[in-house]
Amino acid sequence: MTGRAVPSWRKRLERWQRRRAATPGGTFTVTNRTLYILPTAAGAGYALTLLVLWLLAINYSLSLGHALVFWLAAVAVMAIPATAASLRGVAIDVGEPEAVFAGERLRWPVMLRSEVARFRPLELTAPEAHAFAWLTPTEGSVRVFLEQDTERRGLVRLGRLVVATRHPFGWFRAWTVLWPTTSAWVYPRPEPDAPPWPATASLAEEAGAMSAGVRPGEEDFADLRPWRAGEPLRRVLWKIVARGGPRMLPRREGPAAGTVLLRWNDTAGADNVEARLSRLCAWVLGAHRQGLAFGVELPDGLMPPDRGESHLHAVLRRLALFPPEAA
Amino acid sequence: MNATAPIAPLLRGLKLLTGPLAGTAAAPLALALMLALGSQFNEFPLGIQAGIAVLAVVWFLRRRQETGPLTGWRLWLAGLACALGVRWQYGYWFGQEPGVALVALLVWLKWLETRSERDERMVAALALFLLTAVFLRGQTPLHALAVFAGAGLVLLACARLTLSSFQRLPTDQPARDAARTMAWAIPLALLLFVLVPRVPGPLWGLPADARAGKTGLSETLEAGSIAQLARSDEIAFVVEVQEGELPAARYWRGPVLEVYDGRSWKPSPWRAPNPALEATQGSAKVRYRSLQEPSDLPWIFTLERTHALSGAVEVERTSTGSWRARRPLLQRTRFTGEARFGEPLPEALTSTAIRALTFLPPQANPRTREAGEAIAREHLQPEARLEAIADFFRKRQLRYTLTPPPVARDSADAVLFDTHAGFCEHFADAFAVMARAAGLPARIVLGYLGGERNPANGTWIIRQADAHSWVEVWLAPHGWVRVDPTTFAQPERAERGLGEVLLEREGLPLLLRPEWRWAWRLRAQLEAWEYGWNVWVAGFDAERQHRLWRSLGWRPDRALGWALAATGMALALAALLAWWLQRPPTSRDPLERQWHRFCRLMARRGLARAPAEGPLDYGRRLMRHFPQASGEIEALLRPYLQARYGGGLATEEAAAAMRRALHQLRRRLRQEKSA
Repeated sequence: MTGRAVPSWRKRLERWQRRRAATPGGTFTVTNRTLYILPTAAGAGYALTLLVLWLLAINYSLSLGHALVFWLAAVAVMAIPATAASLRGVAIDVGEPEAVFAGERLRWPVMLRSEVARFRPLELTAPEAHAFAWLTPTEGSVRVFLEQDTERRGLVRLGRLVVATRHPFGWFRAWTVLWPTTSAWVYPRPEPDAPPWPATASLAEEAGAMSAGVRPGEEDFADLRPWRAGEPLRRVLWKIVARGGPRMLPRREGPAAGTVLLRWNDTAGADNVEARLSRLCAWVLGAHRQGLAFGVELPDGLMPPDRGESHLHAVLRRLALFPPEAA
Repeated sequence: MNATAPIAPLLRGLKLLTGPLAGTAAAPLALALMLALGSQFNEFPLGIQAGIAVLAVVWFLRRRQETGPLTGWRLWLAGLACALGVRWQYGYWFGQEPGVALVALLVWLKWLETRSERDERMVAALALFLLTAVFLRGQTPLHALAVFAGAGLVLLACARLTLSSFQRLPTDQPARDAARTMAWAIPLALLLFVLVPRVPGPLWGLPADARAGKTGLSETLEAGSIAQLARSDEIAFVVEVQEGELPAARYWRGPVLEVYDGRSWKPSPWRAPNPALEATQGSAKVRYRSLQEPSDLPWIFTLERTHALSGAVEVERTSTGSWRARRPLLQRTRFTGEARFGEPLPEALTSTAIRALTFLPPQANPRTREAGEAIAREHLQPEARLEAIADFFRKRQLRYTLTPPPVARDSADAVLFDTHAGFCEHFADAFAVMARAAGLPARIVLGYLGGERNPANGTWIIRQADAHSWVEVWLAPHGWVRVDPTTFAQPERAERGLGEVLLEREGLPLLLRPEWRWAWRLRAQLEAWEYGWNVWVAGFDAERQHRLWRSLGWRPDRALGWALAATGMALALAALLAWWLQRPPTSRDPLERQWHRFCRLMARRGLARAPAEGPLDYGRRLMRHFPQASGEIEALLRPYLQARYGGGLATEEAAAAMRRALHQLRRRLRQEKSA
């Protein structure tokens, strides 16, 4: 952890809260067991104001002043259950966010539902993420995104999520703490201007000019596919249409005639593990963009060449989980 | 829609006026401040009024145009100007009046420099202070309405402030929740009002400039001082008779003036104990309660010959038989008194006292003195002298009027020998001077005479217009005898109201005129309600609280502990009530109720039913989680499904089966837990 010492009572408090927040099912519902409530600074200020007004009423024997102070105090007392009820019964589901590259923002989708129809303004706080959401009697569920900056690759969790409300007067804050178990993939950061992979990466039998991908103006019908309704017209090859042919598009995502094997050892030019992973990542993305079949050879194993989205993500996950100092 | 049609353009216009303020926390807060300051606006001096108005307008314009917060030297300069303005308007720094005025000005400055939610909450606190300060000016139902409405607006502002970080929030929802909480607080507030023990004030003493803000009898008598008051129909005090009957001539005694300097009469600073006062005589006994309006003086107006008096403040009886409090009666105060009348007020005067009470300044009123001395030469017996003076007054054919011709000096001479006209203070002054000249110790009593019975609640209302002055003369064997010289001019005045006996009604309050009886009756009803309010709400003090406790069977010496315990119980009850009010609505359908009990039980174990989950799916999920309890879960689900989805089972029967199954399930789950 960081250099700052975490006091032991905090750890103990967190352990206690974790025990209470543990849910067998996937959805976390705020109950009295997991709801905490304390006065806020505004509440303390309000109490001080009431004390002053009470002394004023006593000193001048203002019976109606007493009545006013007692009413204001009674409102504060009633605000405690009202604040708790604004949070109790909220079901919180943290979904899986889309995978991102390190340095991008993770968007954790948080689904909030309310079993009992009432107005609930909620404030969500997670490490370095903050969001506001509200439920109304007519809109019983809402999805908000907690945006979290990422720095390190890996499989990450949201961390300590606090859902709080100060409704209706702001004198009390009711909150609940949970540690969502859903996780998100953070892939290594692709190197911005990565050098091309070495020629030796292209596997021998298919080595050739194709590794550079489709060059504009040199398409032939083998690299084309028919246009489908809804696709952007600007990509249609009008030369063919002008010759009386059908609307055709260059086939970019289709299987390109090429296979590369991207090797860990080829990234030796980069300084450290992370930089090498970044370069590999950039190469993988480049190969995928060009529609090449690509494989990755890492010190701890080989991923055989393949194409497609699922292969890409499998490779990127592998890179994300690469042990930090394994080299 | 038609009903809202005329109001729609108005609302549109209002929205146009307020601009971006609409829907923000600032809007209700500004309204609350307007209520707080509007209710006491005419109590401020002109300069302060102008300052408040200017600052409010500046604040409004800057907020409306969304100009940023005011900072730097301009703010400091404005603050300094406010402080100096208050010093200039009041002439001193510290006191109740400049304090309230300063807060009334600074609250706008604070708001002008406001940046954060915390700052706005500070403004809300100041608004609450200014609202409470309204009660220093008066505690009528109207004041209460304005203040409580203002406080509600402040709380609404707090609710909006809480959500200021939320964008595009539906604005009516927070207001509705805040209003609901405020309404739920009312029963608890009532309990606290009755139960929380009142601390008798003042705690640190009132500031020197605390004023009652009302005009009443002063404690000196000069020509014209009462006639001025007779034009006011404000209430002086209200009397509720508890035992006995008030006499026909109802003289309410206030300060007794014994020191005469030729122009004015003043109370004697000399206060020797008067043991003769303790001897109660007279057979006619009256017990009464009076509720006296605030005044700047400590005098308590009591029925003549009141020998016992108690109230929420400390009272003492002066040597002249008047009652006074230790401090000015700045609050409306309630007293209980007992009077026995029918005999003169006994006192044995020493020769020094006789000399002091017959003293006249040598130059003043030469003609009256001469007449008095002539009577003294003719008659030896004090009774005979008194009778001779009365004869003298009767023969003068004095005219009783609210607007006597002005007299410069020697007022007794002027009234008796020149103008032959006057109001009660002129006659009292002349009579006392002549009696002293005739060697009879004489003094003037200030107070009220009469009062009318309110048919709506049977109380007696004594108004400022009933202010009166009369004379007491000491007759050697008996003591002090009351003589009302006004009766020589208008014999009926002693037992009838001013409006009925004055021939010229010019300058008399409209409602005292007999032809306005219908309005009088309406006002009587209003005043009866006001009396109830003053006694039960505005006048609910420590004494009244103790009396209420006693009537509930609490012994006052133990009442404090009881009150604290009861307050705690009230708080706990309120919390329970709130809990009950906040819980999910239960269904009236017995089947549904059992089903909800089941769902709640499971939700407590972290297995809440998803909104889209049907009973069958939910049941399956639960059985997977609690395989040991699957039999109980099934026993509970089957009757529910059968009754709900057509298995031919009656609702009542199914509900009973579910209840049994729920009981079993609960026991099974407990066993699981302990195992």
